[in-house]
Amino acid sequence: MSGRRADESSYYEILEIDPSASGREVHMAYMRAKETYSPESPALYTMFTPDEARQLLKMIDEAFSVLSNQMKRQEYDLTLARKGHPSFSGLLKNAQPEKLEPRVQRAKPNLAAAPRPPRVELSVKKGRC
Amino acid sequence: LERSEVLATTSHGNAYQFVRGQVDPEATIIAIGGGKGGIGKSFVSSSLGIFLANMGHETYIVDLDLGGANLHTTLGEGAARIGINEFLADSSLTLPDIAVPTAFPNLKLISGASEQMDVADINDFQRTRLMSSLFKLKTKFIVLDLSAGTHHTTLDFFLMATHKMVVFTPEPSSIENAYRFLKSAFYRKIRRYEAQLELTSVVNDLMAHREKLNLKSPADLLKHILSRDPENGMKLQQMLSELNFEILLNQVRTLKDVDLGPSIQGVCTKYFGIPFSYLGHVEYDNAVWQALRKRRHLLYEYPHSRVYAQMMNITRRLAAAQPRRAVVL
Repeated sequence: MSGRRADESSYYEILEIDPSASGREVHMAYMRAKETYSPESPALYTMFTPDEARQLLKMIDEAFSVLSNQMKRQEYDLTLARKGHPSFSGLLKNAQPEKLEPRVQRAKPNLAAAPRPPRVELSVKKGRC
Repeated sequence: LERSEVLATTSHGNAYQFVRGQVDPEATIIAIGGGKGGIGKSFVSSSLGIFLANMGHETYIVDLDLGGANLHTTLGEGAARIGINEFLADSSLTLPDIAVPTAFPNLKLISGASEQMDVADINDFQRTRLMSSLFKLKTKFIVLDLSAGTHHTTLDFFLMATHKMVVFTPEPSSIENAYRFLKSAFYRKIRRYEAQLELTSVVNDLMAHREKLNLKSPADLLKHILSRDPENGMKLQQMLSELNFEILLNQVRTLKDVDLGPSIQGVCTKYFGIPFSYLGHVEYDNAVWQALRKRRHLLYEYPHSRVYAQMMNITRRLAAAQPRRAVVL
């Protein structure tokens, strides 16, 4: 595996996932890739040398560290859009970079302030079943 | 593309009409290859044939392991009195003429068994006639049981199919041979396409400098072709993407073996730079050879086995898939 390919392949291609992949899909693809390119994997036999497999694993770790982090992934997607990657061309057309909202905005519930539901006591009737 | 021009003349100088190239085959052709002997190609071929026939599809199963044909034994049939050898020797014969019925309704066998010693070495003309006849055969499915190894004849029959299935087993020797088979098939296809797309000089130049350019895989080669000649490089990539090799993992024994199938698919996709499909796995089962000893097919002898269910699922997937254009030449 050449270093050149590391520069040209996107992190999505390295993990073999769709650019719209969810966090769970990213994680699953990462686990699968780690297993596939581990030094003892028989699937590599005669296709990639141990050195090439090590480089691939390094790229896989790098890809996961970016794609598993929401903010880093957003920045990375913008970088791909600026480079003219077809899957991300809409990012630059539709929104200014500084005004971009985070990809997923979920309101986190304030558990401390929320009223606690009444405790339900479980009662077990004694007797014959 | 005038694909038919490429092989319009054989090494014998015989010009004849081709039905291959951009012409779709009459049937959906499924080729089963793998590079190594003893990995279950004949078992997979016969099982596919039986299930497809059982689904009501008229199916031909062709034994193309011309040097060691024994598909009839796997099917529990006796040696056929007529087969490919007679077809090759007599130009008036057609494939339906040499097909023999089997014990399974809708399933016909074209046997490769022969007492003649040199039948494995067929020439270009015979190979092309056989391929053209397969293309013209009016039926629903044709299953090709290929021989081991990477002989050009084997690769050409593999590459002519609509579904190009490669059988792996979890053993390193099988994996190595299957990868070698895939590499040979891939480069044979590139050689054919590059001539059509006038990329021969580009490919030769890249291959001459592969050390300097750090070309280590077909994916690397494709990327360099794309950068040198984007228009034809895109066409080449598209044509190669349509190959869609399919992987089947046979004789699986452990859960770790099960994970190997998707791993092989991932490695192939990364190495070749084109999509690969994973059809699924089939477990190792002693019942296979027990049934073979009884000269009855496992699917009839042990219909409640897990292998039965796994092969049926794989057949259903293949039968349900939309037939794609078989790209030949």
